[in-house]
Amino acid sequence: MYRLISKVKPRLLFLSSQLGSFRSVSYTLPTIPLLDNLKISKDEFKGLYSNNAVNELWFKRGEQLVEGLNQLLEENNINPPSDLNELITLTFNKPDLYGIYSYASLIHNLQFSLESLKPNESEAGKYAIKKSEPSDLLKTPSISQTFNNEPTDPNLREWIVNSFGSIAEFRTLLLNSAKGVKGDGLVWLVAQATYSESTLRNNQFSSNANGFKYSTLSIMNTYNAGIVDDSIRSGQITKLKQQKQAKIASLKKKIQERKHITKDQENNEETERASEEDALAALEGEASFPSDLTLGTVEEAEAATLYSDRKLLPLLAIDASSRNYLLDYGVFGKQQYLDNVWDCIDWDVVSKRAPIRFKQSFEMD
Amino acid sequence: MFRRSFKVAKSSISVSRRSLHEVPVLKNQDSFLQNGIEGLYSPKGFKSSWVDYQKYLTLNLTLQTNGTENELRTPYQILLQTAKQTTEQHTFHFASQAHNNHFCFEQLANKTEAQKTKPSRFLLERLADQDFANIESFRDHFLLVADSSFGQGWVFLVELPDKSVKIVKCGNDGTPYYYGKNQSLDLNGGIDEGSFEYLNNLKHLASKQERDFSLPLLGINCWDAAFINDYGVTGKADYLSNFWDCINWDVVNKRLFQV
Amino acid sequence: MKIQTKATGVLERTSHYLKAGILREKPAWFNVVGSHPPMVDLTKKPKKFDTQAQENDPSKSLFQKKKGGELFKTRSNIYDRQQRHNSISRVPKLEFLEDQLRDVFYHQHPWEFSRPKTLIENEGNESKQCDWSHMLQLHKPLDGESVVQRTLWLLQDSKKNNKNMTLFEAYDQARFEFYRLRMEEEMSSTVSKEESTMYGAIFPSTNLDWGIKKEQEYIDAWTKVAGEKTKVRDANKDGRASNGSMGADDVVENKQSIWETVFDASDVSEASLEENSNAQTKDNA
Repeated sequence: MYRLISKVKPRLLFLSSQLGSFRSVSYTLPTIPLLDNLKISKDEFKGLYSNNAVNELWFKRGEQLVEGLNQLLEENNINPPSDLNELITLTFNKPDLYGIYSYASLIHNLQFSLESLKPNESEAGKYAIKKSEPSDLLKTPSISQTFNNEPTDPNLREWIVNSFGSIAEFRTLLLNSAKGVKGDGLVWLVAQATYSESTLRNNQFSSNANGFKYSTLSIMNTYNAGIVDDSIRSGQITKLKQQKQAKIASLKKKIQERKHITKDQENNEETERASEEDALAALEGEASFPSDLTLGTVEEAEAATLYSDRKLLPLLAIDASSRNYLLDYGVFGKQQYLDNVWDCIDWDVVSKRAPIRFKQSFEMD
Repeated sequence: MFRRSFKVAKSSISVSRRSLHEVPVLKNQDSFLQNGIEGLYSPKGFKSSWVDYQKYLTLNLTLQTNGTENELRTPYQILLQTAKQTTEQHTFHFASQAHNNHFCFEQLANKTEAQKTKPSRFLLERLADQDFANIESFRDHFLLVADSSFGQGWVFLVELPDKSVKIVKCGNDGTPYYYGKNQSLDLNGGIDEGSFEYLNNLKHLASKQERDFSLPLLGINCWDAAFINDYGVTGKADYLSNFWDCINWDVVNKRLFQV
Repeated sequence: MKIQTKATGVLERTSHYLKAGILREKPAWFNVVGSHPPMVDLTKKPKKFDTQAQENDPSKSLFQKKKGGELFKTRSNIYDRQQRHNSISRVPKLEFLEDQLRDVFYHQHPWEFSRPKTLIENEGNESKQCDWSHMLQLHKPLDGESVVQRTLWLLQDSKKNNKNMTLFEAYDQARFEFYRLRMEEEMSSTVSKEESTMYGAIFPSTNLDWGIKKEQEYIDAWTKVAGEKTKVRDANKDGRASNGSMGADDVVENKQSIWETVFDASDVSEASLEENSNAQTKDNA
């Protein structure tokens, strides 16, 4: 819950105090020339969205998100940076600014995914938008190895093939990941840095911040307003856990110290030393777990491997949320929508976003 | 007495025939299909959010469960059965969604008819215990929870074993019947200490194999599929307020008594 | 066994006893059961086997009584014997292409056997409800049988359209479609789990947890045994010079663990080997 005033018109008289404060920066909906043109010409996004859908998904929803963001910034009296990405990074680790973060991130994700697309001008694109039927759920997927809109840039192509095996495997993984998302979410193609940030920080591998080297491509999902960058988002739970443990430890110390004081008044020094040793032993006992012969928990393993704090650079995003296909394709249309999205991916944009590939002479993993 | 029990046994045999999951028929389905739900859905909107969406869910449920032990179970039984299984969460999704959607559509009626019904005195008393002085203040709070959460989900009013009531927000396909799958958090952004403690508490309960006896009384569907046809992508707030006006309180009151 | 009817007749019998004076007081249940007698007779009665409904054994017709005479046919004649061995009356070996395909598929995918399969059918003609122009079926789970049936459909379809698909091509296509759908389902399951975790779902005990717990149990047991074995080895090393190697084995014998039988055998052989080598070194010296 980040909002205290409902947008649903209240039945009772509701006196919401209007904040008339002045703010130096307020965000506006970014412009995507292609979509603006479609709005003017009242054309459809060929091969993917009807004109109505474009209007709903980008202009109306985008406007609503921007409005919500500005309103929250005003309520919280925050003077935001002019760059949306900066705002996301700044607010991510502040749970009390959850609303601002979410709005900002949703706008960013929406823009990023729509900018990865281009209209499908081919003959097939003309008939691509159609309502799906219940029987389409039983449709057998195509097993062909070649597709219409394959990446053309030889470098990107080679990188994809090396990372995923083949274009067909890549496409299957990408679209299956998107299809698996049940609620709101996106699937991303990301370039993964070779070394984790902590390694970079500790070693003097490359002193400048832009010295990331990207060696592999991967696919990942984010849900709701999630962001891609593992280097920012990972390890939150671990951090909280450590904080809690530190708290408990300090609390125990305090109790022990209090005991010391009371004992100090009554007993001689010898017992004091003994109790001090006891306390230490107790703390140590907690800290040094016999780790050589215990496997630990799955949770620990997941925390250690699932979120590496490697820098991830997004190259492509596909919005898998249901609103994208409900309007034009109906409730049965997710597969058709995703197939169409593939045909509309703008590979030029993707290869422009791609960093220089770092080829390892040997595997570091 | 003997005879009756014999009859029950016989009918349960005929139930256990293998069959498909199908869309249940609502009480006023025919009139809804023709005229929509007055004050909430157009006929097309009703068809897409009930008939089509429920069909989508039950078809998928059939595909996931045929030939398994869940084949003959109702969505409610399946969701309870699969809630704790990590590899069956997709089945859980379709079961939970099918159950929740049915639950929400059951409580709807045309606006004029719905306005004639009122929440019962007992329900109002329970709400008053939670500091909702009247039904209006409860409405504002309930709809605020629904409106202000990001993403898809459900909001329920549930009754706890001690007969008190509380509002539960279920993110995505969450279910009000089991605390481990309430999915009331959004961990996609920053995680605060409150959420962390909440999660720890859930884990603690689960490790003690604590059972959940809460039952939903009132639910509201916040999925895009429920309103996108008539209200557009940005029309959630209007939809929610219309939804409230079409609640048939007789159904909700009965749920309180049945418990 | 004689049919037991005593239980149902208990009311009647008790009232007789009362009348006759064998029982003096009414049992506590008497009035209750008297006013609410059991409606249904729950005694089990043996079913009579209805021989009339059975069809005649066709072989009997061979040995039927001849119409006019008193003679009975008691053994088959040459003609009958010839009939028995000709190709019409012999049970043919049934061979189906499906069976071969099944063999191939399950040989290639042995783990498909580990999926539970329901054998219950409503009418026995469930397979007719399936339409194999697509792989997924509402009446049947996706499994090896789907691949087989789809292969056959693809073959027939290609014949109809003069595409001349070979059996291998059809089988491979069906197989890859099957893989695609399995991948999709697996992904759907994984993503769903991840997604619900991101919304705060918790899972009390996962399969992985269980596996790790089990593994830990074995590691714990092994730790004990390994500790003992190390002790023995150390003792062996130290004691060898003065006492020989015999004393060390006693330590293992007294302890109980699940490993005992396995390790004992190796112990003995190792010990004897060591002894031999010791003996040899002594000899050499």
